Amino acid sequence: MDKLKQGLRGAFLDEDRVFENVTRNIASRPFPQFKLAMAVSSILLTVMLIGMLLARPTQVVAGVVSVDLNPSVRFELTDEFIVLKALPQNAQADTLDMKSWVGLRITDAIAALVKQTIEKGYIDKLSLTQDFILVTTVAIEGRNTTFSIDLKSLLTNLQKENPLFSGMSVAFMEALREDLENADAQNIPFWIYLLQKENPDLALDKNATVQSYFEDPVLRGEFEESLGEVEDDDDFDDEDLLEALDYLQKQGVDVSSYRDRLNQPDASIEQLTKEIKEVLEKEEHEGEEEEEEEEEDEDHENESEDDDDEDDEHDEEDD
Amino acid sequence: MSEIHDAFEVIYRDTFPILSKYLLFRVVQPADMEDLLQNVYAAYYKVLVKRKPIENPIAYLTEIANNELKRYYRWKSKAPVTLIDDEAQVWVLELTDGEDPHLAAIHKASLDDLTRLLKRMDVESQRILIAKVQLDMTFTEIALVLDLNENTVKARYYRALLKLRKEVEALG
Repeated sequence: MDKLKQGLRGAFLDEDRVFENVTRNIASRPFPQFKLAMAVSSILLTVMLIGMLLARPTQVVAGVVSVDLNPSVRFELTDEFIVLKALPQNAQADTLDMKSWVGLRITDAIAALVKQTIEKGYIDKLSLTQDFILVTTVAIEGRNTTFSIDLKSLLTNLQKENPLFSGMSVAFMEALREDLENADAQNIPFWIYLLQKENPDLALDKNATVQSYFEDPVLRGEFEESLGEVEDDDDFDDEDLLEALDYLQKQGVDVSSYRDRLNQPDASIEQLTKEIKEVLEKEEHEGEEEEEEEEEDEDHENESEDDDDEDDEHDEEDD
Repeated sequence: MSEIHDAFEVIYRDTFPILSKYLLFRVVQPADMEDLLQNVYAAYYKVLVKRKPIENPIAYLTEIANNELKRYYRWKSKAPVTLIDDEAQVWVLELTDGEDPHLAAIHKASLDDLTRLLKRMDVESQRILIAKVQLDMTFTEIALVLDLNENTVKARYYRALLKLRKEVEALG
């Protein structure tokens, strides 16, 4: 009878098995007190998170700074000049890594922009050659009224203190929010929109650069007359001159006389700077001419190749 | 927690045979019993954990079992199989309660084989065997529960044993 009993227990009903299953299942469940504590903690945590989110001041855009040095970048700032967003405004700007600029103070972000611009070769790193940065500030209405003034003062200091800006001229403009919106609506670069608003006769195409604009003495004069002086960095020193001489030497220019003069104790840095700038401009001009000639030669070659092709075709037809 | 566990075990051991007998004749097949019992006792354990006072455990457990059965029959479309008192049982009159002509042959099978063969048996035979062998019910008790003639129950029981014996012998 015992064996049959065991068989029935195995097949259908085992008292110990049921007991074990029941107690194991119950024991593996969390205690009601623990469950209650977990539920209360979850609710408290949720309430705290919601409270923190509501209590946290939302980061409102207090102003916009447009920096044009080809690349062109637009920065959205808090009223403490912290970058909320950095937006590329042209193709060159698209190649820059802007993610790391968010959260930086605007001065640091612009310094990072200039550094990347030099590294990518968009502007000349020689201090003696003139590069231009046009900074346009837009204060959002109803907020900090001294936003543009404070920002201009901050950036002027940046130009003076940061060696990255040596040899760079900085021009400032102020604009209204509606100018920014209109420029965007008309798909015109912001700085061109503002200059044309100031002077409707100004003929600048969409692809004009800040460099080409300020290099034109007439246009620069007009700008300074109506919008304010362009801050040049004229504070050249021995190192800037040596840097320029190294560059010229690499280009094949004999700079030994300039080096000798620079080594004289009574050397006039001002006079040497003027002269070396002239050589640089001449070198640059010659370089441009050479490039144009090369392009022309290439065109001629292409044309003559086309002619040869045509001749071949004619020959084949004759055959 | 250990205190509750101990209290539960005492009640469990006391009530398990009674509750098993109660459910055995109410389920469609004996194989469903264990699940039902497990649910009933788990529900009871939860009540103990909440420290809710229970005056009459067996009555409380039966109530839970009834609720479980209702749920069980919502899933099972069939009613429990009932035995019909329609057989001539003259031969069983000669057998006394507890006498078993087939057990010796059945015990020759291994436990595994026996378990397997029992699972393959028809539900009616399974039910009678569990009641008589495992739950130690007398033929009179079973007959009372099933509202059948005692001899009918007895006949069914011996027929089930005979069937099982034949199966065991067939295994060689």
